[in-house]
This record gives sequence, C-alpha cells and structure tokens, in this order.
Amino acid sequence: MSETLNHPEHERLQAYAAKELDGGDTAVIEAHLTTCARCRVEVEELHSLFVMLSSLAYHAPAAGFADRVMARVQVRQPWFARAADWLAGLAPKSTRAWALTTAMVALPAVATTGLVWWLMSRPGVTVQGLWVISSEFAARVLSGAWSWVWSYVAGSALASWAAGAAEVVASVGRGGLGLGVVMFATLTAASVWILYQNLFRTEARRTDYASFVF
Amino acid sequence: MVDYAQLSDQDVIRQARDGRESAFRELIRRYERPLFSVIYRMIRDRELAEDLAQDTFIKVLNNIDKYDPGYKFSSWLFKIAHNTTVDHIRKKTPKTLSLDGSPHARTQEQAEATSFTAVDHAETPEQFTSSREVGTEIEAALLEIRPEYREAIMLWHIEGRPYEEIAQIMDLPLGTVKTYIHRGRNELRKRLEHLRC
Repeated sequence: MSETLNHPEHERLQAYAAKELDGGDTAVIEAHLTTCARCRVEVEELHSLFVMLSSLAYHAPAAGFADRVMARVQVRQPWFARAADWLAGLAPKSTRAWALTTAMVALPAVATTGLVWWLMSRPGVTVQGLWVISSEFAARVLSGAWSWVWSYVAGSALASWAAGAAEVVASVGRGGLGLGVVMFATLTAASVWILYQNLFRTEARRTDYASFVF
Repeated sequence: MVDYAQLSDQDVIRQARDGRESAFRELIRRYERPLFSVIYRMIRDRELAEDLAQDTFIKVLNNIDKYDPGYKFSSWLFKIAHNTTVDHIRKKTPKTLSLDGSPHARTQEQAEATSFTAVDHAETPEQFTSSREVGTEIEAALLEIRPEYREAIMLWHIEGRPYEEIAQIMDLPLGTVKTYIHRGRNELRKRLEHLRC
C-alpha cells in the first residue's frame, strides 16, 4: 500500500498549494505527497484552480466611464497649487523660448558684471567707494519714487474723499461714530454669512458617508 | 508635465489633493477595471455594476482629503466598493415582505394574489459568461458559489490581496475570511470536477 492513512487536512494542503507554509511544514507535506496519490491529485487540482483564477481577465466598464465619474467629482484647487500652475504656465515651452529667456536674464547680468569689472580696474576706485556711490544712487531713486507716489495719492479723489469723511466723523461725535462702527460690523458679518452659505458650503462638504477608519 | 503613470498611488493622491484633475483621472484609470470586475462578478448586472462602481469612485474622489495615507489607497477604495455594493443588495431585498403571500390567505388563489415576486435583473451564469465572449468554466463556477466566498476568492486570487486586507475590506474577522476562501476553493473544485481527464 503506497498511501499513508494520515492525510494532511484540506486547509493544510491549500496552504501548501498557496505557498503559505513555512519550511518545516512544507517538507512534511512534500514527504507525504511522495507516497500519497490522493493528496497529490488534490494539490494538482488546487494548482490548476489557482492558475485558472489568476488568469481571469478584468471586465471593463463602458467607454466614457471616467468622464461620467469626473462630471460628479468636485476638483478643489488650493491657492498654492493655482499659484504653482500659474508660474508653471509662465515657463518657456520650447528650446527657442528657453534660449531667449536665458539670454534676456544672462545679458544684463553679464553687462553689469563687465561694468563692475571695468570700474574696479580704473585707478582710484575701491569696493567701498563703489558701494557708497551705488547705495546713494539707489536711495535717491527710491526717495524720488516715494515722493512721486505720495504726491499722486495726496492729490487724488480718494484723498479728498478721505479728508471729507474724517470731517464728517469729527462732526458726528462719539455716539455717531459708535453707531457707524456697529452698522459696519453688522453689514460685514451678514455679507460673510451670505458668502459662506452660497459659495463655500457645498454639497460635497456635507458628505461624511465615505469616512473610513480601519 | 507630470507623467502620472510613473508615480505611486500616494504621489498621485498628493497631486489630486492639490486639485489636479489629471491625477483624479489617473486613479480612475488604474482602478476602474479591477473595481468594476469585483462588483460585476458580485451582482452580475452590468448596468448596475457600472452605477455602483461610479458611486464608489465619486464618494472616494470627493473625499480624497479624508484619505489616511497610512493605509493602502486600493484597500480604502475596495472597502467603499464593498460597502456600497452590500448596501445596495440590502436595500434591494426588503426583509419584511413575505414572498409566499399574505399569512391570512386561506386559499391557493389568495396566496398567489398577495404574493411578492422579486424581479431579478441579474444575468444568468450563461448570459454573464457569454456577455463577455469568454464563457470560461471557471467564470461560470465562480458565479455559482456563495457571494461572500466569491468576493473573498476574487480579492485573494485575482487582486492578490493578503488575508488581513480582505478582512478589513469585508469587515470580517481574519479567521472567517480564511474559512470563506477555503470553502470557496473546495466548492469551485467540486464544480470543476467534470474538467478532470
């Protein structure tokens, strides 16, 4: 009689066929299989079942599945991603554009470096002297720009309106000012509430059915 | 330009959280077939399977911010698919309806008049296998075993999920999952006996 009567349990044979047993258990089963035709057949059947199952093809949904899903998915892009996309959009798209951009950045840099180099080679010019001249020049330019902006703002309609408003506030006194502040705060709160209800409190925000905790 | 096909699931999800639509589409591309296959083999109704797969993706993608990167994305996706499918099956079979008619019926005619006939839109194993023009014996045998065995077998053999993950997806104890897979394989072996030479 070639078969042994102590057949391994079906679970153990399945675990062997699925290569889930450790070395010791595998050796015990293999020793048994050398003498037991019945268990050998079972293992062979399991192997062919495993092959058939793993070779099953996927079914595909109908064409346009992704579009139908995306039509109901809200893609919310945070501000930093929008900014990154905007910057990425500014980047050159072709080799020529890259070459032009590089040239536009490199040429002023090369020209400035050349100018500094030439100035430094002149007799009597030092790094400290060059720094003082440059910083004085920059300060003069900035100061000129600021006084231009100030004179423009002070002479504008906005400045005259602000001055008028200040006079009105001074004339109504503390009580009127307090009433104005309360009205302004109420209007602001109401506006925020309306915006929150209509723009930010979307349907998707209220869904919690997909929350998942292992 | 980001080549999403080269990125891991976690990296694609990061892009999706940054609001990149292409990343959402990449997740759908990766999992539409495995997910649809599992649901279709569970309920054997192509149109319904597509609706449930669609609902699953919509829930998952609209809640991508809630995804915990400590777990596999595919486990989360299959878990939601499992819940969506099971919920649908539960809703479809009302528990309070008597299939045999009113308990107060005294005659056969009264019983028949008050009986509830559930219209089953599921495809037969033959329709199912011929509908995809493969008609394999294994596919037909798979449809004949209990749905819970079928799901566990599909997740282990076709999707290659470990037992622990299947237990999480199906919300079952580990031992139950192993038993389902063991019994499912035995049933399949019996149903495929005629293929033996």
